Amino acid sequence: MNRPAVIAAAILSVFLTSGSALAHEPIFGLGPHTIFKGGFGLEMELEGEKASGAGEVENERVVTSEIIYGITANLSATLAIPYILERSSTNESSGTGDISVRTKYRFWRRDGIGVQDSAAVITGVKLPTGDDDKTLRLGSGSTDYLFGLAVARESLKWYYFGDVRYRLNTEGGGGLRAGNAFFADLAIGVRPRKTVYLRPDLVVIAELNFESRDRKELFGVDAADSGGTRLFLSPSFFYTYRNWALKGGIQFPVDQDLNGNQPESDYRFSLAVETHL
Amino acid sequence: MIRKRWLLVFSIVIFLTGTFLPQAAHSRILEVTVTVEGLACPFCAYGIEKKLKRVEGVKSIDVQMEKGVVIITGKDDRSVNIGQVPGAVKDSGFSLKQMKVRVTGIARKDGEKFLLQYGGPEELLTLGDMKTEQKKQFSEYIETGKAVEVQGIVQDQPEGSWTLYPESLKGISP
Repeated sequence: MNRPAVIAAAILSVFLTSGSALAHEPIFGLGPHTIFKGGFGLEMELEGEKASGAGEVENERVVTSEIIYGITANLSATLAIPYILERSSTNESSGTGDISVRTKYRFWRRDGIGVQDSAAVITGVKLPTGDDDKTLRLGSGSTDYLFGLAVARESLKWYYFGDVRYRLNTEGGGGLRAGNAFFADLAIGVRPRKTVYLRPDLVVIAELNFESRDRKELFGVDAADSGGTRLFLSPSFFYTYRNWALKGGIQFPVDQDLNGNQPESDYRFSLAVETHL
Repeated sequence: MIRKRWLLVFSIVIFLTGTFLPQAAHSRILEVTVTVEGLACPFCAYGIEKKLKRVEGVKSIDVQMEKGVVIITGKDDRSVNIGQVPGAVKDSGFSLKQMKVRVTGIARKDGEKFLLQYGGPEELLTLGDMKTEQKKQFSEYIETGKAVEVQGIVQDQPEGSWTLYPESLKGISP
């Protein structure tokens, strides 16, 4: 396996684990929100990352279409279909990536006037639907699993979120197994202007996103130039009007402690439009 | 000639009963004020708007985030089906704290129970915790057959009926 493929797989795995959350949740982390029973949510999200170093410059853009369905008011299912465009110094490839399915169960909720505290468990599976034969792979070729726990306190003025996630990766195409990954996110949001229903509503958020990845394995052997930890500070926002939401944010690396010789992330971004039907 | 006269009398009776006498058909739940807990963002409130708009007899919804209140206005010719409101709030992911209604109907009495008929014979609200003055006032409406408008909190009972705790009641002119 060549070096761009390993780098591409690393970048891909970022997006396959990213939040793609419901509106009024952190942009890069996850929250415990679910959609109302029988409700559909449609989301189109553009995510990107620029990484450089170790003689490489990587650019990736992913457009993910998501369908969210409310099985009950506290249980939702999400289908995410990514379309990936990757570009390195020497290669370029594009196409449908690995499709993933997630469920979120809000197992605890405490409601008050203008306030909601809640907690949810998240489970997900990523299927090997993306092409993993290209030089720059569009999929990992593996079936991977996601487990998470999210808590939140939301009020008319302030928002507080916290979550932990663990991604269990299996061996995929070309004998490559991406290292398992752990994520932890904290977010605080504030609504600068009083909210009124049927008027545009803005919430600004500051997120702290931590990720730790194990080394990749190639045919059972650890890849030296892989894995490590990253910490991002991420200003983000959501802007909503009735059942429409525009949300986005940028992740700036605060600390990157990567094993061996790897390109470091310069920035990541996300911009999404979501509607509930 | 006799047939024509009877037809005229019949028409006058229909006109009078339809216009001047209090009718159960004119009675209905006009407005429901639902206190909802957990309403913290307008985007999420769309779910409650959507669910409550599906409740029978609902004409419009007004969500007041700051107060945690949703005001449901009923259709002009139909009662709001209050039995569907708790389920709608639950399915939208919030908690129902309290439901207040403004309802017009005919005052009735069944034994010691004061009742308000706000539609067909089965559409009855049992009036609970009435003060002496309210009982006296309500008894007058029963005797005169005058239609009455009542505002108060409603609560569902285990047997499926609804009890209305009146905060105000007044006779309404035809």
